[in-house]
Amino acid sequence: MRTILIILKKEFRQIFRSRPMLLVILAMPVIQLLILSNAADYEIKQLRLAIEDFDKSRLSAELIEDFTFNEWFELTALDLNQEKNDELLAKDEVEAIIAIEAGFEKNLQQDRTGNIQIRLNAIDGATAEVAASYIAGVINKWAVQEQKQVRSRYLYNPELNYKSYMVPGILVMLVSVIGIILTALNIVREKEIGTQEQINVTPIRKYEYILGKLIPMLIIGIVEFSLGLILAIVVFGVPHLGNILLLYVYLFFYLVVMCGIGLFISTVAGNQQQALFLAFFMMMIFLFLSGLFAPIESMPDWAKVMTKFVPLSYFIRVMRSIMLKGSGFLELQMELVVLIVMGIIMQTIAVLNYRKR
Amino acid sequence: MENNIRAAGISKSFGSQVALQELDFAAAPGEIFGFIGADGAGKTTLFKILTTLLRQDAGKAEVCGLDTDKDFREIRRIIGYMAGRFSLYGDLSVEENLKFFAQVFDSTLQENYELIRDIYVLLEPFKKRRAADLSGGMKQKLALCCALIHKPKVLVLDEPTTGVDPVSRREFWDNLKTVAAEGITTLVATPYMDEAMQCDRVALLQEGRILQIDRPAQIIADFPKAVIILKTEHNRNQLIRKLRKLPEAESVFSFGETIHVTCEPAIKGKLTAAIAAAESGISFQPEQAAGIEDCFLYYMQRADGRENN
Repeated sequence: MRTILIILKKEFRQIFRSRPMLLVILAMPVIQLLILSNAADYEIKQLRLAIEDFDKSRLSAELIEDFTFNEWFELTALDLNQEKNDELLAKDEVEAIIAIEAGFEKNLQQDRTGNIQIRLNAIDGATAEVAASYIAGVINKWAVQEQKQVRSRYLYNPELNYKSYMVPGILVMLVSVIGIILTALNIVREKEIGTQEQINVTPIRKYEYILGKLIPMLIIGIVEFSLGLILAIVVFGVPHLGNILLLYVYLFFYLVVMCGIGLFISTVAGNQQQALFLAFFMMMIFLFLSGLFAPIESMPDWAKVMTKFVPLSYFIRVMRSIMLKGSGFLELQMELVVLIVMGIIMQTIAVLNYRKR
Repeated sequence: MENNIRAAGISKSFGSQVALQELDFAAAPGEIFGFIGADGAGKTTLFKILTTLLRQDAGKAEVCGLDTDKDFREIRRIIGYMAGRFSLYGDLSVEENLKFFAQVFDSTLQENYELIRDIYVLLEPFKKRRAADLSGGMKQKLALCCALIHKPKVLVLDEPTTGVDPVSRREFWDNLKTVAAEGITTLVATPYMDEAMQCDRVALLQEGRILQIDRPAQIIADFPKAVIILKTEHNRNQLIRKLRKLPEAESVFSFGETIHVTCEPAIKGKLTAAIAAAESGISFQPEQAAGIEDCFLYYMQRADGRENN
């Protein structure tokens, strides 16, 4: 214990002495949140629509009315000419076409499926994705009034605020970078400059050294997260419906996983350059499969399976659920179990691979 | 006297690369024991085994009666190690480095201050300076202080004077003598043959084997050959090539300005006359006994020759 404290003191002394690093640690959450949450803002203010009403019934008229009176949409064409509408879509004059099939009302009244077709220009995939969910949102609301069942993934972000959706995910990304890259670099650096060897001829034990290295990273991660969280709530007005303390419980176990990965990288990399590349490579894969930028629901099956092994995807889900939905521990038990198991596995592999006796 | 370090039959290979072959030696308390050898001779590997950083493939090594393999934890409390390159925290100050290493050994700067006082007084004016900003000589002094701060029984120094200026080198050796006077066994590796004379005993290491092991004066006394030292006005390399062709010349080496030729003592006069007759522009240095470097170069060349035949 005493030895760990000595190492901790040394680590923090080094961190506080390195001004560029301190600057990055403090500035990173601010800059990343500001840039990413705005750049990754898929929010569409005015969605131009063409509606083809083949049913011309009371229900279809009601639905169209819902779109007309919704401030997010602008009805630019109400025409049954499909070819002409497709041309409008191709020329970017509308973002989406909604077609209500003939017999829509009749089918619904007889408890059969009423079909609505949505055509989108998928060249800009992200916009199309958002447009689709916006439309689904309106249809969903209408369906609730009509007591019909439609599902929408925007159920818990009723203002369709993309920032609220992105910011918790970006916070996760932030602490992941700290956990993986900072940990890996910090340990490999000692290997590179030879101090590792000097440490190895002292009575410092392996577990003392590793704890002395990981605890500062956990603390920095928690501080970083808190900074980002304050920014998210105060500056971005992201709702925080759930228990913030519960968020920190998940954060702790998540950081344990990340530091484990960082430690593992440090055991396979010979120098800082290798460590950085490895860490970067892992971060990229994690980010793509995290559900942060592309929704997991729209991934192919094989990718969906892969996301199950990506710790980010669990913590992002936890963050969004707790902050936006106000979920409690009961709804997120599985995620906690997965994170703890992942933490144990990663740390074990890393510690076993760490050569010091 | 009881030996502090004992190594018997130490062998180590890295893949197909043999680093150490059945090495034996022992060092007594207070002894400065030097390992002389070129880069890649196995000095660092041997030191890493003795400091428990590496494990030998075969053989047994003991430090103060503790087995390097089994009792590595106890050994780490009683050895001080200085690696070949500067390996302290460059972003911490002189004082912080010292304190850190003292604390790690459950000691304090004050507790063993007597031992490092002579060295530390030179460092003290810079104690607030970052270790990375010290000069080469000062870095070595700090590293030595850090290795001594817990008053080890054995001090292991891997090429401590490589890349250090001659004045700092001499100071460094003076420091080592002070340390040895405290009864600390010092193992020191160096590629500089002239430093051999500073050691109580030396081992000449080549390709993982000890060629000679003795007191430096004894190695010189036992040297069975005679040395002719000469200078030329003409091209030195050309002359060396020519001399090496002479069957009587057993080794020919360039020593800065001069050339050293070793031969059987009986034929020294004859060979000198023959060289004088064959070459122009040569001047012979006055009669001089062989130095430690002559001995080492001769033995290394001989070992090389055996290897090749």
